[in-house]
Amino acid sequence: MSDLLLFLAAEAPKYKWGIFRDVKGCVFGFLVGIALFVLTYIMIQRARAGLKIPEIRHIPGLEAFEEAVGRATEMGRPVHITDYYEYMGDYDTFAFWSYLSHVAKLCASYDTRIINTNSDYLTMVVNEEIIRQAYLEAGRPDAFNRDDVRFLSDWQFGYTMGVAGIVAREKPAAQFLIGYFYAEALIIAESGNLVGAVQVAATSATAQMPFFVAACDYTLIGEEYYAGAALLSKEPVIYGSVVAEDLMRVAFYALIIAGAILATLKVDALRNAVLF
Amino acid sequence: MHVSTDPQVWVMALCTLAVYSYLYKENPFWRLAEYSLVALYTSYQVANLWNNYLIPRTKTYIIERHQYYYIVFGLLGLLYYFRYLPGKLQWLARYPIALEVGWGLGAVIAVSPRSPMQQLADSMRPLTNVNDVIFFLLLLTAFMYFFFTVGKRSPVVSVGGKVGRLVLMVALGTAFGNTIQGRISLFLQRLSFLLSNWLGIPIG
Repeated sequence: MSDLLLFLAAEAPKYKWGIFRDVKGCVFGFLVGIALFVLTYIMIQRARAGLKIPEIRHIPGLEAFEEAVGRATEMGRPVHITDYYEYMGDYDTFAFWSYLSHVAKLCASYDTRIINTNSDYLTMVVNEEIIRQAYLEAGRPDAFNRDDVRFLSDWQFGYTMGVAGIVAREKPAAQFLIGYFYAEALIIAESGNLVGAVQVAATSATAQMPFFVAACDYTLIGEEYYAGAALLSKEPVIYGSVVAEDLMRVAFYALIIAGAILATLKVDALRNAVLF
Repeated sequence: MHVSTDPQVWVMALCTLAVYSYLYKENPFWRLAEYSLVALYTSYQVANLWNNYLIPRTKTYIIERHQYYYIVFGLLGLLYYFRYLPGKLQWLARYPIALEVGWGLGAVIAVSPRSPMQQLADSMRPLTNVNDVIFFLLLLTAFMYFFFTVGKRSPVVSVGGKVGRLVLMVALGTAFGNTIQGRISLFLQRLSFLLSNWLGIPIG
């Protein structure tokens, strides 16, 4: 009975144009989504067909991957790569897989041990498949060691302590911190520093960028992380997506300039349209 | 000075020291703390999943409400374990992985485009005071640093990007200092616990 009364008392949800939830930016966001979808589709098709699409500029730090793995090979020490808590539904995870695949292929071809630590048990399964595939492609399936793809804990500091311990014991010569990190970023980066590892970080986590810039040898920040994934993978799907995203970024840039000029002239039409 | 007699305080203090001993080098005390923490949380999670998810859902949804489709999801989940089987059945583990990845992509697409709209609108500020003009110029240059395809050979984008990099470094430096202060306050909190609660040394 009380449920029925609550149901009758509840206000009906509001909709814009009958279909969009009454949330700021919902309609404009939907239109941006459609535009991005079309743009991405066109760019991917053009990339697949080998037609001309804008090239992604050089990103400093990408060469460091090969350099770091090469150093580990020379020193006979392992490589450690982690993404902290990347779950399956996160776009950072998809970018991370490009880096993981690239590093795993390098390690497999140089016959260098790769250790991957995880905080999400489902992502770990995919990571294991990617590393196994890299060893298969390098013609060394027997060199793949499943025990080097490790789940530690899905609690942040349990995972952090686990990684710090592994880094201290295994003494990797190269450490790759790729993905979205939180407060554990500096602890892990410093544990890599203590064992003298070459460290390459790539993250879109704004709050953790300063720590990586301070503690790592090379750092890819923000959107560089995704563009770097496209450059490394050379997959038309990822490459086309990043190009489309960049074109959309330029459109947003133009919108901001136009919006600021209009706002100065006390015209709020564009701002209101964006928030519609 | 009055050293604590509470065993809980002693465990906390010794664990704190064991963790800090990592700063000297990796040692058996650190390892004990590390393994204990990882093992405790993992065992907690197993018990939590079993008691709060697996058993109640089986009882409530499948047995009491006869929602038998939950069995399908359970079986799909079990397919993850096929990767531990020897032989040809390992490929079956890829089905739940594919479903999970597909779900993830769909969920991201559903919620992604809307959230930056508020940021976009907030960037359209009237250029009527110095603060907003500075904000506008710094935003444009920092934005330019992330142009990857457009204007690669344009001197405007090149110079703008370089200025943008400086802007970003200043912002990151500020964030670094701010967070380090936070970390120092966490350390002081621990130090206060060790000195005051454990050793009973009056401070401050």
